[in-house]
Amino acid sequence: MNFTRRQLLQGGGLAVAALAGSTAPAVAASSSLPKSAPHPLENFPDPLAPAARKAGQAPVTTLNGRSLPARWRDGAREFHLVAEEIEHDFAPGQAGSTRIKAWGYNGTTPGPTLEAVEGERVRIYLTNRLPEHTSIHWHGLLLPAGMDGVSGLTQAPIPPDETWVYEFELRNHGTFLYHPHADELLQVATGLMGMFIVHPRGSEDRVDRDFAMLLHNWSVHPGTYRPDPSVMTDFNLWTFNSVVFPAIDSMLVKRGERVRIRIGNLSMHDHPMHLHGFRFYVTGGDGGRWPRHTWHPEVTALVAVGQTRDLEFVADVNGDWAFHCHKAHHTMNAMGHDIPNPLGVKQQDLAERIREVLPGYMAMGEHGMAEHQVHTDMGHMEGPENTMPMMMGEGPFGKLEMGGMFTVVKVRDELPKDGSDPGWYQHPRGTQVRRVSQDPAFRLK
Amino acid sequence: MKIFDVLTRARTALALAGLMALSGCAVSVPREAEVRTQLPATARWAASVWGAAIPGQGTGDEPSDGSGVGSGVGSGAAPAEASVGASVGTSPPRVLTAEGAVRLAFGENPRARLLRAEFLKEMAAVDAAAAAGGVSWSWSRLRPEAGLAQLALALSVPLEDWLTLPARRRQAYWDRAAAAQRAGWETLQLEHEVRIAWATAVGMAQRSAELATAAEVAGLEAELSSRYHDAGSLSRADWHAHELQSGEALSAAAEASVAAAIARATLATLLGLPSTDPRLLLPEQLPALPQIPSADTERTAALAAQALRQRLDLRAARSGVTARLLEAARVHRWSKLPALQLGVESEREPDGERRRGPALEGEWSPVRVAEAGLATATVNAAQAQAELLAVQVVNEVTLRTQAYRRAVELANLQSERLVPLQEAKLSESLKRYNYMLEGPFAPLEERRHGAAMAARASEWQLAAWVAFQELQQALGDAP
Ligand SMILES: [Cu+2]
Repeated sequence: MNFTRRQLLQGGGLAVAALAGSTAPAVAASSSLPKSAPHPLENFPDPLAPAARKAGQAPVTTLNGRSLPARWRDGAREFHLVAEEIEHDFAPGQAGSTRIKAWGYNGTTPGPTLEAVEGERVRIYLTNRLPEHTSIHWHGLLLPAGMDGVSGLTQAPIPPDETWVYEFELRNHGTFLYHPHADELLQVATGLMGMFIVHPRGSEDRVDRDFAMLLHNWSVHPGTYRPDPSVMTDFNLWTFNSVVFPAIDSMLVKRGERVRIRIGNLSMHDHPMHLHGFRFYVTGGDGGRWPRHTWHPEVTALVAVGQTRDLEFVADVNGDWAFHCHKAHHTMNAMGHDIPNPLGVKQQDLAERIREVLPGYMAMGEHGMAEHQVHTDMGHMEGPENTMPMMMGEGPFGKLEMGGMFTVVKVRDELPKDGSDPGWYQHPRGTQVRRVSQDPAFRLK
Repeated sequence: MKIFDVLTRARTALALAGLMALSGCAVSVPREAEVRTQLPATARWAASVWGAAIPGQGTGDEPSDGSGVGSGVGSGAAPAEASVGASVGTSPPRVLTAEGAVRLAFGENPRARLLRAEFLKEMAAVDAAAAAGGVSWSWSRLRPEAGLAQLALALSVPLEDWLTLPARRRQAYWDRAAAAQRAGWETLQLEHEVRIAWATAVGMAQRSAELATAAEVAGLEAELSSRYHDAGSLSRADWHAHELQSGEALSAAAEASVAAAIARATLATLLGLPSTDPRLLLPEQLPALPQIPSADTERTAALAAQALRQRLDLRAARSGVTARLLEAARVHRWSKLPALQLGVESEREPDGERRRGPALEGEWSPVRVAEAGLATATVNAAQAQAELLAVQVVNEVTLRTQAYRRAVELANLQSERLVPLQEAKLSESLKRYNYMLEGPFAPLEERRHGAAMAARASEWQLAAWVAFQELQQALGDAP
């Protein structure tokens, strides 16, 4: 379980909880937010994702998350999910992070990843600690209609305080999702979702690293502490597993390893997911694994709303390789709309006069938006309560000017044995871009 | 009711006076020293500013009655009194306070001189009516066709004039009191008027300054929008919309500036100064509001009782009633008797023989009875007027108390709640601009709204100040 140890060393509160077998949610600094109750029922005997091992697969690494421990009872793999209100931190460890009251499973959003093996029987208990009824739909799984979890259609809604059980056989393998199908707009917008990974019988498709992430979008208005479910398109936070860059875990890989990135999308937008440095193949979706002859090399894969995609590649070149949504505003945090573009607006002199009647006013954006992160990082410009600046992140060569759906695949010859982050890539001499002139009139001779 | 009390006392005085007049015993005449002590500080002070001693400076005998009428001046020393002597024309130019304005008004305003002249005129009339009895004499020399002339000399005193002297002086005591109280009341009115004009000038200037700030911000907003237009980021239409806003803010500021100038001119006129006078250096804002009066009815009733005790117009009316009662009693008494002249006559006949002896002359006319009827009617009218005034005073106090409470509540709502909320809104807007959640015009717009709100707050502050003055006026307090 090197990923959990790595998270622990990065200071992620979630990792501490997972390692200790307790599922207390990451504690937001704001003590006014409610604390979620722990989940003793989750303390099953074997905490080490045995499904993957049984299937001969690498365990799934849920970025900034974990897989849910299970137990074997009466011929079925048993899970226990508890839906409840939790505290959630969009950028754990980052100063000025946005924290909300969310709804999650077992203390987190997304809920823990469920792992099982094709052909197994699963029995999933769902305790509803929400103030309203709920249900769970098993997105992509082939199962009896009565287990499909559509409230009102295939089952009665599960009232608050009750525990119901879903039980079915896993007839297909692949990357699937789970989410409520009761008051779905609100419950998903508020954070109720998770991934369900069914490993295939046999191991012909074995990978060395298996990462999982769920794409989501949120609307947390400045100064508020609850996501707004009434927002349809103008979201201001774009997340991998409900976390924004730079708080998203890096994906650590040894050179030459075969890597799978499983992506699910429960947001309201499609995301063109782009990997630097490698060609990948899209090897499957929520319909299961795709036949090999349909695979073709890509560097960007569109993951549409309600889809999952498995990207696979061999990480044969060392480096720090960006992996992000290619919609530029999805790699930003909260930004306004309908703001007049300050580019090229000469106003330094005017700003001084404005400051006389409006102290604190700053002219910005005349030369571009990059200066914004400089100002916010240095604390020149205070932002609204519970709101992160649109650009964050510091790299080895300066500010990354990113946010939202962005992380890094770190490929190295060797990785620290304790699972900790290897730090920034050291570029071998002669392999990095360099300066040749500081003269704006530079011409090639 | 106080007024019945006064009338009872007055009737006792009347009875006593009548008794003394008939018995011919010496009457102790009340002197104006008493009247002076009954005047509120402001009136005394005004009189001293005018350089007019209230007549009757000498210490006289105590009045036999009526001391209850003038008691209970609740206002204490006029605050103006302290600042007056100290700083007229001696200190360098400094901010003009309300007290300073009052002082200037009494120094410079012709209306103050008019008040003084009218007061002195009234006093002179009273003095004339209370003059001592006269003496009449006649001398005649009749020359017949032949022989020595006949000479006649007669000296007589109109008996009524002398016999009624104590009664007339007693009546004059009350007429003087009424005149002084009326003058005090008028003085207070002028003072209140000056204070309201001062507050209005300050408040309107404050409002004008806030709206000027709003216009300045709107101007900066328009200029910024032109820069955005120049950079290609704002359409001509959007730029012009900001220009339009700036124009509207400018016109609002201009209107406010005119209103402030009018208020200033009004104050200057009241102070008898040109509005460019350097002494008209006003503070930038009105001072904090005085304590808000309690809403409970008992407290309001106490205030009304206080007003009934100290309102000088009411006390003048009551003094007038006493004077008219005394007058009516005297006129009635003498209306039934002929006007008698007692004297001596001396005659020298043509033959040289001298004759002399006492003489009594009498005169009676039905006009005297009619005059008695008029005096009674005058008493009744004065009494009714005083009672009516008392009712008005009570209602006025109730109304003004409520009005002041409301005005203070509104002023406090504006300055303590709305203005800080608007400031918080501005701060939030600036933070949102900092994080590029809002454009640059949003905080400027909030700043503009803030200035407009501060202007409204100064309007309400002014309204509360005016309401406070009106309450003071209703209470008859020296401010
Ligand atoms: Cu995207």
